[in-house]
Amino acid sequence: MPVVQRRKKNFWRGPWPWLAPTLLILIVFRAYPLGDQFRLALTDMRVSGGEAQYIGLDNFYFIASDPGYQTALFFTIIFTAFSVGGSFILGLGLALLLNEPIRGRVVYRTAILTSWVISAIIVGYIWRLLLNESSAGVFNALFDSIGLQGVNWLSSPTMAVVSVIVADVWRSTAFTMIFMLGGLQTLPTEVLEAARTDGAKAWQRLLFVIVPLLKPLIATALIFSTIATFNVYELILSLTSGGPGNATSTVGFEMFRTAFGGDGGGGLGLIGRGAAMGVSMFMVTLVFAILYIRAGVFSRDYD
Amino acid sequence: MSELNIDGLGKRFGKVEVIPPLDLHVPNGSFTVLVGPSGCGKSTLLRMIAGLEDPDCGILELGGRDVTLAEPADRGIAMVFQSYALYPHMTVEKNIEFGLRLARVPASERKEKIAKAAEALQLEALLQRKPAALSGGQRQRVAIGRAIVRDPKLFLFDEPLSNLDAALRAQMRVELAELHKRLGTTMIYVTHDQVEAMTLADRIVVMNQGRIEQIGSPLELYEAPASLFVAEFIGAPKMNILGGKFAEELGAAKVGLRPEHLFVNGQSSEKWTAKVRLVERLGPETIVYARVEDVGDLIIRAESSLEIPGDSELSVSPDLSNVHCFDGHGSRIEKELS
Ligand SMILES: Nc1ncnc2c1ncn2[C@@H]1O[C@H](COP(=O)(O)OP(=O)(O)OP(=O)(O)O)[C@@H](O)[C@H]1O
Ligand SMILES: [Mg+2]
Repeated sequence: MPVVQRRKKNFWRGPWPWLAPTLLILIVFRAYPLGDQFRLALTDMRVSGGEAQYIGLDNFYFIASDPGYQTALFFTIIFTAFSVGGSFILGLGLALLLNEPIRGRVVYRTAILTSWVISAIIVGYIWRLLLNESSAGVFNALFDSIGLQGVNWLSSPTMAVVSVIVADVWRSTAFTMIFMLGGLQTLPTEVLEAARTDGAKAWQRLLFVIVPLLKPLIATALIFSTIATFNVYELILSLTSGGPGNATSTVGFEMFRTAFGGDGGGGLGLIGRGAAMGVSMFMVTLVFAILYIRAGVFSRDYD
Repeated sequence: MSELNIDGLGKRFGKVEVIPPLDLHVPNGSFTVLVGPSGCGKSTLLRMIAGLEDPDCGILELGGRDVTLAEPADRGIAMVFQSYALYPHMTVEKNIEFGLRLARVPASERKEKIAKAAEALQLEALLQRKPAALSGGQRQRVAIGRAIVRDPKLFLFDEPLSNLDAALRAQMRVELAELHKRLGTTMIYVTHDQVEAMTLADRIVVMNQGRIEQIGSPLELYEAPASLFVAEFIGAPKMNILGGKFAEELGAAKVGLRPEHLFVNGQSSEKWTAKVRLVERLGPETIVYARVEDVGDLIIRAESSLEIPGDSELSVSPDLSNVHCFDGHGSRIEKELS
């Protein structure tokens, strides 16, 4: 029997030379810090320096019974649920709207996309300007001009929660929209037309045809935006700094405040404890990442 | 009654007038085929009939009711698409059932209808499969099943067979013809394949650049094409179109001669010497591509036993009683009755 001669493997023609640069960057800037975070979480390292001691799981014991952390965790869950839900519904709605051949839709798409491109820190500052409770605040000035009472957007704990959620919805809607718009454009038009001739009204087409067809994409979008929202801290930092009180402090923000600052910077500067919080967030993210992979994202009904 | 009446229906996309206002009557129970070259507006016309595209002008009447602006679902039509357009996430059964569900047909009746359609289309074994697990022909049958359970007054087909291979296409052609015979429902069928048109239709509508060139039965179009366009479009191999002195003598700008109306070694007054360029041995017949000095290129349909002489020259004579004459605008010149 003739044997097929295997082509000689040449390292330089294989995939590794091409992968190496990216891998190197991933290792240095992702894998190493991630691993190091696990190490730090077991120490009492501080910003102020001094020899770090190995203290076992003490940091985890501490945050597990820390009311500040628990409040933040609870708020983060509420915040994530509402923000992800709100931005999904809004994003899908906008995508459906902008998928229609309406005048100037490119302009709308671009405008909406801007909110995603701007960094979260800036988004926080923009909303702070909008929500400023003095007459300088855009919303309150508007209310004032039509004879309405100003609202304590950021100083009332309940309103602050609502404000933070609204700002984050505003920021993440564009992400869902672009995702869904991409999906809508891959939908086979004839299938939707078949649904129309079958007698499906617009909402029935959405519910029985479009959503099922976009299911893998919807799962992906939801999981991505859950991960992004759950880990948010920049928006909180620039919009409310977690206040009033601890009303809008997320786990991410709590971690930031715990780990950095110190020495008059407002934070605690406890890097070890902050790292432990980071590890807890990593675990939650990991759960969602596994969900993402298992959600049948990669299986489709199409052939 | 489910006859279709189209009166002055027109459509433009932006500046382009895809369909200049046209009239068309489709009698009740007919199998009407719209045929024409790619881009001539067949699909657009069909989609306007279906209600998937709004016309810019004109009236569309189905069964005596004005449906010009009615929703597709309210027209009593069913459409079969070229891509089958099955719902990929639903089983075959659910695909067929979807329209019935939306119309709030009771469950027992739905079951009955699905069973009947499945039997007629040999889909029983496939009901629980999803479209991805079906072959092209099976998918097309599901699409047809989905259409027939709705008991439409009018079936619309947009090139339903063009994604199938030749053998399956021939088989589905027969099945469609049988379906029409059994149901007796009016059908409008779009294709750019003239063989499909000839075999399926009782009426063919030949379209060209959004206009209707001719309407007639397959044989009428074959035997008396109203224009050069129809003459060239209908029939395979194509009709020979000859100009020059030969046409002049017959008082025409162009003369059309079907390949079967050219005789090798015939006994006609007119005799040409044809230089053979290519011979296709098809089995029951032989197609000869040849060139005649001062006349032009010819396609000749000959006996399968035809022998090509060593010098590749054949004596060919045209059947002068079967020439089609056209004037300078490409319109048919009727021969005077003698
Ligand atoms: N949505 C549209 N916007 C602009 N032009 C269009 C649109 N749909 C069709 N056209 C144009 O209208 C003309 C007719 O298109 P149509 O699809 O009706 O052709 P057809 O006869 O079905 O061709 P084919 O045999 O290739 O399917 C084409 O020139 C096409 O480019
Ligand atoms: Mg077409």
